[in-house]
Amino acid sequence: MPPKKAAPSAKAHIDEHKAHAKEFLERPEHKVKPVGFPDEAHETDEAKP
Amino acid sequence: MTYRPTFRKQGDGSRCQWTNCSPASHAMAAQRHRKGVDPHNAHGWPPMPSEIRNYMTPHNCGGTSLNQNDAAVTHLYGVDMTVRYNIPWASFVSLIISGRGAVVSIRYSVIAPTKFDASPGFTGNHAIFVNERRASDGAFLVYDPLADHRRAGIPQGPQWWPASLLKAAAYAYPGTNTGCIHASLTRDTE
Repeated sequence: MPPKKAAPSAKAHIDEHKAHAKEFLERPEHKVKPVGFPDEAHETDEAKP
Repeated sequence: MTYRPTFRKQGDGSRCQWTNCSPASHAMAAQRHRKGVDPHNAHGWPPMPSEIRNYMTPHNCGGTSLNQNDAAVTHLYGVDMTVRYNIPWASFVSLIISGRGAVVSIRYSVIAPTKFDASPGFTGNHAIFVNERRASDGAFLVYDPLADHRRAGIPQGPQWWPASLLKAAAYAYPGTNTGCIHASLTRDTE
């Protein structure tokens, strides 16, 4: 049987997410507000609170 | 342990209180971003919904955008949030696990039928602050500014929302691409 692959440590797991997060935040296409985005409709508690 | 800001309710008696979900969420985000450290400038500390609202729209109570709130907390508290649109869910999860908090745009109609409903009858657009994710079950610690227990049956303070619920509510926000959400992120504080 092949040896079991060791599970990544918690720190390694978080580091993977940090690397992905850093890469994601650089993507230009997510920095631009989409056309038709309901800017002024972001919040309204329209019912009786 | 992830830094947890003070819960701020929007129903605080201040001007525009019932349209202040975004300023309230950004008040909590700003405190998280700075891990509670006062910038010692000319403005107040800790961040408060009314101060953010008054900076943005001193004469009306309309809805506010992620960018407006970002500009306000940058001016008031030196907190430069990172606004991103159409974030794929998996990337959002990575951003939270990696140590960031986030103000997330959601549609409250998804929350209304659940025990997390903090404004019965309200089904519109809303903003919440997401502080962290629990590894054991993938739930998210959500600070809903409406969750002030102002009457029986309304939750009080931060609640652990199932990931499926947060995802569905964020997906349902108008103007999002399929499988994506809009959010404004704090810096990585962890």
